[in-house]
Amino acid sequence: MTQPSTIAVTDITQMIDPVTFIKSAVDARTVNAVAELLTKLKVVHEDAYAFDEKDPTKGWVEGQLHWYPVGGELANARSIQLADKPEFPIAERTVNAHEALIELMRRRELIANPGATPPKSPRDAVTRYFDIPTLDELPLHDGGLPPKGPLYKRARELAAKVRVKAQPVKSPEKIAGKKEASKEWCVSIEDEGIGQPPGAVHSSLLSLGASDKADKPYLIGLFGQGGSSAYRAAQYSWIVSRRAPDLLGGAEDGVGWTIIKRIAPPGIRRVYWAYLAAHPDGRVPVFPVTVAATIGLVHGTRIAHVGYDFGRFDVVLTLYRALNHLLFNPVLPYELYTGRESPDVMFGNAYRLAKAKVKSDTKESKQPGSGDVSVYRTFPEQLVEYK
Amino acid sequence: MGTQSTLEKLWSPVPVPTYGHVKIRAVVLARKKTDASAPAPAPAHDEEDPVIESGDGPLDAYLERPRHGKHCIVFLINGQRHHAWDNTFIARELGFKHIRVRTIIMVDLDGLKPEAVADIINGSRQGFYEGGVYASIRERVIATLKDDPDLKKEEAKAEQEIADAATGDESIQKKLDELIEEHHPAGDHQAEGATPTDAPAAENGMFGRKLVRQDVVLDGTRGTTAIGPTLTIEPNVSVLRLRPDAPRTVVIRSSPPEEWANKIEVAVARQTDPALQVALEHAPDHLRLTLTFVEPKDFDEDEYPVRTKLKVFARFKSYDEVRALERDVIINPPPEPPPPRPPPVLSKSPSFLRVTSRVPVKLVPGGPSTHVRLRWDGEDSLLIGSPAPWQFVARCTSTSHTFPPITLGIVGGGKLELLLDTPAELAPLSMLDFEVEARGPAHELLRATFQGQVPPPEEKEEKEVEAKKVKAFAPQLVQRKPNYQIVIVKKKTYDLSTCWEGKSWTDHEAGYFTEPTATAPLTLYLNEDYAPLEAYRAKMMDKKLDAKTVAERLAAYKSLVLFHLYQMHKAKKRRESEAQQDPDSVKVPEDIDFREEVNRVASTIVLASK
Repeated sequence: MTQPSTIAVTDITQMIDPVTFIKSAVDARTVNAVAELLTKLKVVHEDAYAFDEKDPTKGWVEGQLHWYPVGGELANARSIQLADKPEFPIAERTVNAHEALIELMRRRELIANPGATPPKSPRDAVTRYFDIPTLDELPLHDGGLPPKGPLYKRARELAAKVRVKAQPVKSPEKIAGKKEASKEWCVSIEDEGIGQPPGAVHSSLLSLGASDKADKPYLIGLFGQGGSSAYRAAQYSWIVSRRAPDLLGGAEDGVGWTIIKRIAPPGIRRVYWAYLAAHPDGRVPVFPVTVAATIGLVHGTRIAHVGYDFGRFDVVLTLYRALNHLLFNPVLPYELYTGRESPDVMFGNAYRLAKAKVKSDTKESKQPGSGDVSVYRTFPEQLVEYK
Repeated sequence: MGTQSTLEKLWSPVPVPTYGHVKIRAVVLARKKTDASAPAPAPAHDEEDPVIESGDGPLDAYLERPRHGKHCIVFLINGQRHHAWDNTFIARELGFKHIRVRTIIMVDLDGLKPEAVADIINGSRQGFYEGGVYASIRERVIATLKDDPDLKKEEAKAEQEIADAATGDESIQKKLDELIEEHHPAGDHQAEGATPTDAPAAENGMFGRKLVRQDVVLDGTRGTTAIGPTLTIEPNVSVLRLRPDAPRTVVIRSSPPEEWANKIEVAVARQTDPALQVALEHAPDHLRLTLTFVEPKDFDEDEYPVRTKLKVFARFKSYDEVRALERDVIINPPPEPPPPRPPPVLSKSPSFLRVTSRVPVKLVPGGPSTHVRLRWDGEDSLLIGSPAPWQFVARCTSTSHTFPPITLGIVGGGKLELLLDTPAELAPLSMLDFEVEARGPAHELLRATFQGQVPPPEEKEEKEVEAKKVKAFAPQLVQRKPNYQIVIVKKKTYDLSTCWEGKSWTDHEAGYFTEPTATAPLTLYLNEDYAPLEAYRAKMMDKKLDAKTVAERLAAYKSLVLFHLYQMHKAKKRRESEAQQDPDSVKVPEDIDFREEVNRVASTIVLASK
């Protein structure tokens, strides 16, 4: 067995011009665009590299990229095929993005004060790091009803750090029998959180259940894999991430990038999801940190799910409602773009309900005889009249 | 958007024994306006509430997929929804049928112990594991909300909105009664009441409107000795004293109490003049009556005190004679009206805290939570935040008893409440002292105390009441007739009540029915603006049919559709009964089945009438 350490990491910059490619990569919102990207890379065909969990180096071709199973396991479908509605993974990804914001602040806190005790809960963390109350309490403080005050403004600014975009894109090919080109969806989740160093993308963003969240009471998720269920809804996904430069802790700075897709090996009933890896230990391709500025990535993570299968789900009309219900009282707000230029700012239903002004007493019922609604009884409920 | 709530309450922390605590928030929204004639408000861009959230009902904008289930009771962990119930829980478990389509309940589980969260949560995060933790949470949600006075008030208001809108259409009612009557011998409504085959003939009748002189049995000293149960009243007073608009509640039971299970029916008689209103609430072992005297128009104060009588009648299986109970009722003039209260002035520096519930509050061992009302003059914002600027602590100060943690409920506008969950083992007449403290950020302290008492045990007669048979006026037995009410729905009032599956009315809904409850009979709804009926009406107009013919045809349509609704109700009851015997093979029809059936039938009737 070849030791992975003896195999060189595939340098993607030897295949393409990094700046041109990364710009195209983060603009890839259609299945065709992602497929086009792949043609520019040296990728070992999925049938040519049969991943062996015991020896990932077997069949590895140096200088090329390989389809490597998400989580480092071929049986990853059981962890990915979890969601039964298309909106669930989007909510999970949004929660992950919020965690990235919290973790960013926690790590910075530890640099400033290594002995700082961790926040007891996600809400405790939000209060400590962002100084905003639970969102459903915002209207009572100063934010929910006009005039909106400083707390609301702070929350609104925070919302811009997590952007959920469900963008309709028209596929250039007409489908036979249809008048118009088919519409496909790209769902992307962008955060300005801690991000991952390129060498850790595979062990964090692309891991399954390898989370250390259970030991971090200030983080939201428990299993660290909810967002992965989005892979099954998309034809392709891509990830680009950069760790906040002040939190590298000795790790290499740079931009990690990869594409994820479903693979159905011929003659085998099992499917699995794989990503482009640059090394048998699972590391993803790395772009030099200089490309970060060209795509406006100071730090954080962007994940796009291309060709997202919403079924009959009416994205424009329903995603707003669905996410407000799934993230009923989120620890942080976020922005939702559903095919429009301007976002909806998402505070969750609990906030929206708190905004619903309490009416003291509504006497709207019609008076007897008004004629709009008539009610009459055969006789009063077991009541007997007498003189 | 202009959604408004009519009630918003928060209880926190609500203890879930051994597992930690939860936070419960209930919001009842106002009905949605659907008056098409009203000018539409100018659309204003609101990035938090975009225009796309429109829907049929007031809750629709807050639901994940309104047409795919009403998940309006949500369970949150870190603000994320992990489990949800639909609104049948509100109707069936809490008893709030009329407000179920306007109510959202949030149960925040962040206060549970980590091991309890780990126990209940599933890997998929969609739906809880329904084990012990789940059952305990469910129990707490029911105990907190079931007897909530404000939710009850909202429910009563909603019910009243329908009842208040009464107009008469005697011809339809008469036709419907005739239809039911015609089908009586073969009709299925005979099944109601489970009449035993060896029962006296009188059991096949029911109380009518008239009181006729007959043999009745009551407790007393005169008359001939009789056998069988009698009626008792609690509190056992000879005169019930009331003041106008001040409800008074009494409880009617049987003696011996276990005979109540054998009653066939109960009726309460009141004099038509004066207007003593009587509300009935049926329970498995008693009947609760709430008496309210409402001054009629042009009522002269000199008419006080008003004297009248309350009469209660019941029939029991295997006994022919009606059981009766009678009490004098005296209504005294209202006390001098107090000066109007100024609106509460709330402050960032509250100065008082007091208990406004009547003390000693009634403690219900092992029962639903006791709601103790509090007032203070602090602004609502003093109670929120983590931590909130002002902290409330309530405890039982009677050292002889261990009392569970007490939950604070926030109603808003200076109104608060405490939830007391009395241990089941607390003995009758136990009197406990309680203390509630509010502590401010600058160590300000407000304190209030109150007492709670477990009521005495239900009085059991030392000796069997002497049942006497006397001649007296009691309701005449008439042929069994169903108790129902009819609601005619029109386009303008589609939002007044809900339709099948809790959805709003549309032009494509012909009718609907709701099962009888403790406070409302079977209700048959008929849509007068049902699209095929509208077309039929227009066609008759085109044919220039005379008004009488049009009226007759419309009445025939309405009575037939109403009769079909009535039959569907009976069929549902029958299937439910069969399903109890054989749950595996008998399927009880659902709303969707009934909805399709009545629409088919209504369309057919229209077609046949053309």
